[in-house]
Amino acid sequence: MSEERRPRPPVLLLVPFFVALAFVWVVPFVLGVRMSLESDALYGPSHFVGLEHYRHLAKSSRFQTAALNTARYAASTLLVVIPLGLLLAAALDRLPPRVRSGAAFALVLPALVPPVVLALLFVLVFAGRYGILNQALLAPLDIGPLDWLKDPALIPVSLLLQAVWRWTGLVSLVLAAGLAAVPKAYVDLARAEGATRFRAFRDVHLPLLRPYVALCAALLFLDAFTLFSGAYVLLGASGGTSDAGLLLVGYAYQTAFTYGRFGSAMAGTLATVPGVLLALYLILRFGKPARASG
Amino acid sequence: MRRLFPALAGLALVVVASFFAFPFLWLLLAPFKSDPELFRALPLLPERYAFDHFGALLDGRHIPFPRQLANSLAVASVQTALALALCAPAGYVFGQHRFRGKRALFALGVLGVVLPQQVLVLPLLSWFHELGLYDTLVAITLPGIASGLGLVFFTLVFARLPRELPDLARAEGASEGRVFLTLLGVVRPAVVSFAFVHFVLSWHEHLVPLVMAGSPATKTAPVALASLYGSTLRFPFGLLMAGSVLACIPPVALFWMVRRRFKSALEELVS
Repeated sequence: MSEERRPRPPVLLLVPFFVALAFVWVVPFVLGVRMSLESDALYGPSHFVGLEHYRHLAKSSRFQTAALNTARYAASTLLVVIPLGLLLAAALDRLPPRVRSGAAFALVLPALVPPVVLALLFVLVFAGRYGILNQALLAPLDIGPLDWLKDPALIPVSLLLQAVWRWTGLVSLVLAAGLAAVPKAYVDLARAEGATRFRAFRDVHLPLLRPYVALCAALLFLDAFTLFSGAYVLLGASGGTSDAGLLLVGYAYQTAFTYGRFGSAMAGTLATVPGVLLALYLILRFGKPARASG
Repeated sequence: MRRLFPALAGLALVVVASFFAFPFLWLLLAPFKSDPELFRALPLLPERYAFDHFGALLDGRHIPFPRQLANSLAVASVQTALALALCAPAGYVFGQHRFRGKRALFALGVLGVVLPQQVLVLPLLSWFHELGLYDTLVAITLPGIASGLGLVFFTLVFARLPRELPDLARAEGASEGRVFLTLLGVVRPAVVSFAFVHFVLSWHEHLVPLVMAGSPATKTAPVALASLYGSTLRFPFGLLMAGSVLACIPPVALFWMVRRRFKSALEELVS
């Protein structure tokens, strides 16, 4: 255990990673910050404009729509996928191992489908009058065809449904791994002291699941902030009707490549970074196992 | 009562699992269907199995799809190999050694998780443009190599190994490089899991290859499918579904191969 006997750290083994990081992350980051402080010239020299893009963002209703939509999308995904995944995980935990591994495979499949493919598949599900959702589920219930991709109230629902289909299975497997790791003795003790099944679940399993819930939340949150394919394919590289499907990555992409305003696009992206950092910090702090709290 | 619960849970699970599996099954059968059939949810099975859509996609009549699949394969494999070669040694140093500035360096590496390549895509584009890499597979591959996720994962993996193992190797006179390679053999399941996850993430990537690729011959499969959807071809849904099925095969096949190791990797990441 003596510290002095520790060998010298092999710095050489760190070098490749950090050289690569400098090349594909540090340099682009610095360039990005500079880009956000310069004028929007697509070609030729651009000049320093300071915080003008950021000031403009504060007044841009479109940027605020995108930020709000993204936050709403992230929150709704978390609130739907995690409880649903928890229910599934509890069911998985009770299955015989052979059935469980089959179910697990089926549940992971959606997460393996490339997001572009998922979006194309959902074009057919959501496509207006001919969409499968309208034909198979709503027509028999005598609900008229809903315009999932045009109605501003339904566009967020379409995006959410995609996320639910994509992630619930994977989340349930992560949570099932967490449930399996709960020591049986704790549960037996709680039951012996007269706790009901539900109370044992709430007071024993749930607190021990926190790190697993946090991991899933972080995954879903980061996915919401980098989501591009779904909205890009379903809504044709726009925000959809009254920008109801405009998310941050889509906003930056459109600002940069449709309007040729790289500086504004970069400022919009960087302006959201503190919020993302804060949210991730809170999520990970929630995941720290609670110690000695009863 | 004790037997009823598992039965009910099992039944509920079958219902939910089929809800999740149905679109997937439907996708699998879609490329064999005629265009009018594609817009019907049921029957699930096509009237007759026709390979026309696969043929029209793979003979390069509309887009060079075989080339684009090969691009995807090359980008994802090379990027995964590079990410492994960079992250595993760095994770070993962070997980097994103490040194000054460790926390700061680690934090810098982790920032890559928070600010991923998708966020930095605009400056990446102008940087790679300056280097003359625009519209090459290199430009699509490089942005994902310094994986923050990989750094965190391998640091956790190496930190959990018992201290006796490397100490024993060092006592026998092994160099640090040698010790690293020995430990790498011990954590092989973690290596496989990381390679799998990174390959899938890279295979799925849409924004970076969309921005970096200019010509059809440089596009990856997802980008090619998205642009085929936006193209002027009327109702290319049969083609799209054929391409979609092909684009699902590598991740699904890989998962089938590593599925046993996947669970232990999850536990590594959380506890």
